[in-house]
Amino acid sequence: MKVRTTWVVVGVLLGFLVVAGRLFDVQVVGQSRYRKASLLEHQRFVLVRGERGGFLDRNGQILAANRTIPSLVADPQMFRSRVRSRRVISRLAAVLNISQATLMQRLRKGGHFVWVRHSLSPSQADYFRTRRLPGLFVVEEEKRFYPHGRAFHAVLGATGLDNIGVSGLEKTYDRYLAGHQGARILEVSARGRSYFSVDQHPSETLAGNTLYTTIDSRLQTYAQVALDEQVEAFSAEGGVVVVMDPWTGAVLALATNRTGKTLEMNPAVSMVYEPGSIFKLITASAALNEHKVTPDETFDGHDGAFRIPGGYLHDDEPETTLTLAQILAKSSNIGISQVGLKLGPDLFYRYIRAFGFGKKTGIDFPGESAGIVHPPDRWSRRSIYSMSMGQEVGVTPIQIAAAVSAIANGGQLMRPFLVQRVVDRSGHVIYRRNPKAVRTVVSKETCRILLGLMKNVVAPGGTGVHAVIQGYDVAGKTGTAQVYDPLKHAYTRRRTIDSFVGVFPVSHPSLVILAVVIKPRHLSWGGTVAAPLFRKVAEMALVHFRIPSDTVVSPSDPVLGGRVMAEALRPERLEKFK
Amino acid sequence: MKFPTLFFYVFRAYPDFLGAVVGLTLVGILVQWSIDWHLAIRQGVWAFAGFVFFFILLNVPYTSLLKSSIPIYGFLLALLLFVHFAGHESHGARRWIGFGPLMVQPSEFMKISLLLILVWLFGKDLEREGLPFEKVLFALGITAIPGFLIAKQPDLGTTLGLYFALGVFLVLRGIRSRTFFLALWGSIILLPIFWQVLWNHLHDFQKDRIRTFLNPEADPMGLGYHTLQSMVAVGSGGWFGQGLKGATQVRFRYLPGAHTDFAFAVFSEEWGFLGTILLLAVNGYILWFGYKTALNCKDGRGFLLAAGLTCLFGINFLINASMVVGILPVVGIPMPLLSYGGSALLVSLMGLSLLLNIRIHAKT
Repeated sequence: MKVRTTWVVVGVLLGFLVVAGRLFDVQVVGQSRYRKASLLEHQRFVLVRGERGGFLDRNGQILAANRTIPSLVADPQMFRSRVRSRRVISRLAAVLNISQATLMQRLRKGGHFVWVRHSLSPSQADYFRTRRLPGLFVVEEEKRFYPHGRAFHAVLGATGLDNIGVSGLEKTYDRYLAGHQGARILEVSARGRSYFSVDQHPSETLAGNTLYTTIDSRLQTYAQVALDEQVEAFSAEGGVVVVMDPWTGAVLALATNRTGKTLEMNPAVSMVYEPGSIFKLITASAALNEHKVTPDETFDGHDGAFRIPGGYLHDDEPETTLTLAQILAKSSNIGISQVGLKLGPDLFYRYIRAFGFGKKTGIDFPGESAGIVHPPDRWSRRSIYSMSMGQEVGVTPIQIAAAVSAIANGGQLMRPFLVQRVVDRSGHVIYRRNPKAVRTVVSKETCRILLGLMKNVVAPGGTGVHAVIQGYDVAGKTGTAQVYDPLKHAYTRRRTIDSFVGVFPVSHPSLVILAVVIKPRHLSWGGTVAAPLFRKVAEMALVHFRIPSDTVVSPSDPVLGGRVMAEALRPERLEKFK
Repeated sequence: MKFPTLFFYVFRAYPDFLGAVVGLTLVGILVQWSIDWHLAIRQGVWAFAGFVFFFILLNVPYTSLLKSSIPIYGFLLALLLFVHFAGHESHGARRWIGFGPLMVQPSEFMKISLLLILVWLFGKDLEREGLPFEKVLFALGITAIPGFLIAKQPDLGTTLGLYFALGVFLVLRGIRSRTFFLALWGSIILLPIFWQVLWNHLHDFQKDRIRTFLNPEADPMGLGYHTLQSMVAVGSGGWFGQGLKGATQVRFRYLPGAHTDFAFAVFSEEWGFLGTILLLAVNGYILWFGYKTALNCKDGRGFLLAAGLTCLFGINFLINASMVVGILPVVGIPMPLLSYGGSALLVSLMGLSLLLNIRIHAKT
């Protein structure tokens, strides 16, 4: 009996040894394995994205930022019981102002998550936050916010799903703007509830970078107002205003108006059109630079009818003799064709390419077109005449602005740009887009002569007389491109793209402004539609940038400044914009 | 000895044993506290009640308890019948009798009662060799009636506990070799049939537990979940443990039954290998104390009772610990003094009180 008891004791002792051994095996030997298993089980690794970077204008004004907006979500499972949920739904319908039936439909779903309403009004958000109706939750959504509104949409672009840039600068600079990927460790219970989380990176360090654009927000706003007014006044299909700093290629304003078209394409960089008479500047500068013509040289006006292969060229104002100045001022087709003939196809083509046509300018904006320029071997016998006056070539507004800037700055073709620098969270500049000269196109002397000639365009008797600005010398050129109608295989006079490009002040060129109005309904030409638009924007720019005058009127003249400013900021104009 | 005298005598004479028992109980409350302080408070109240019983029971000599073992057995059987028809149900099992917030499991008390009645009925004539066959059958019957009722609750763990009590008693008491071989051959022949019958009557979750034990990694998220989570908890403890509030398996509710059957796993994660070895040592000391009590007892019944109680305590401890570390399948046998549960705590303390009782009252 005692022996058996001892055997039992020995058995129990053995059991203890087995358990102790197993404990040693699990706790000491397998320690790391089981600790890892434990971590794997209750820690979830989640990726989080930092806040998207914002846009600032050249003066540090905020163009785009983020704000969180409250949205209402619901857990449909909480609306299973009919009686209780009916009460909630009826209240919900009253507050959100939607019918109970649609709400019921929305809430009768599987899963645990359904959007009820994006962006609640503050009072609605307050209501749901304070009442805490069962199954309804207010969550914060991050949304892009544009304090200056519509005027910047076309430039900045838009973000789509997951806050990814889909158009405009948002697309070009998406990788700089996007918040950095960070990690968060969630401690999760067996039921999937998370008790607390640890951010691996502080959320501020994940924020995207800030972009300093070259845009001047007030100028942009004003250009947009002026453009919209003009487009409406002439029942046009749209328009573009580009303001460029000719010395750097920085785009100071880029206003576009394209009713009914999506934001995906910005006409300033993507619209290919025949430039018309503005292109005569290219012809003239090439001929001057090659010394094929001199400023004093006279050309035969042929009394307004010039025989060319396959027909006649006509001028609106017949002349017997024309100087180069008059050719530009009166926009004589007959005169400029003779200049083009003197230049010859090969040289002309070389200069067209040199001015950047037929090739993307390289502006930091998506969706740019290269335009259309055919090489001489594909030209017809008429081509030299047509191209001298801006037909048979396709250009984009930004190419024109860049080419004229080259004339304004003494011959350097600058690469246009919209973003000057990217600054990270701690203020370090991580990317800088320095002005870049693509090439020297023409000599300084050519530019000086040409600008002088262009002054005549804006002088009395010139086509651009509507662009006159008191106290400033403006060098400009009008352009009226007939739109080729593919149905009739002919140019139509009814539909035109009217433009005016101006450089001012001539003594120290500070700005290049291109105004384009697309297909105004009323019979028009560049001098009557686009030139006034140019003037409006230019006057605003003069005041805004305090550009000194060429003539007697001093730059800080309170009278002049006051008048222009008052005009620019007339309350009803700004009212309209809002 | 009168009550106050006895009380102080026990404190003076057996401080080690008392210290071990009180210490284990306190550790149990601490484990409960680390899971949820509500549990700790309830467990504390039960422990207080348990120690009151502990000292009251010391005043009743075990011989008188043995004499009244048949009424006690009858009373508990009646309670079990009552539970069977009108007990309180929780988590799909009907095990409790409710007195307001006080819930008692009669099945737990049945373990001690069974040992008492077996010792009382078959503890005579220790000098003669072994129990005859008919008495073994009789003992089996006494065990099988409450066993059946408890198995129906269902409560496989406690049922097994009853049969362990019978087995321990038979081993200690001894049976005739003829009976032994008869039983052996009989069980070898009848085992497949019994197994089939038993298997058919097992609940699905019980079958799953056995399947799981045979192959725990087959379905980590399902059947093997208990065992794996338990081992992860134990393994995470390492040498020194994660501290009282560092048991992540418990905190994040990965370990089911953490406060009851897997309290030892929680303890292991919190106290580490050194803690578990200390716990084994303290439990070992209690077993050693019981073994000495039994050997020193000149009274046959006292010897049987002391040895039986000691073995039951040891078996409960070993089975629970083995289950937690994955040596045995998951059966609902709680860790004595550590697991949450008022009845189990009360029964453990009463059993230990009986050991001390025999030590004090037995003729030596």
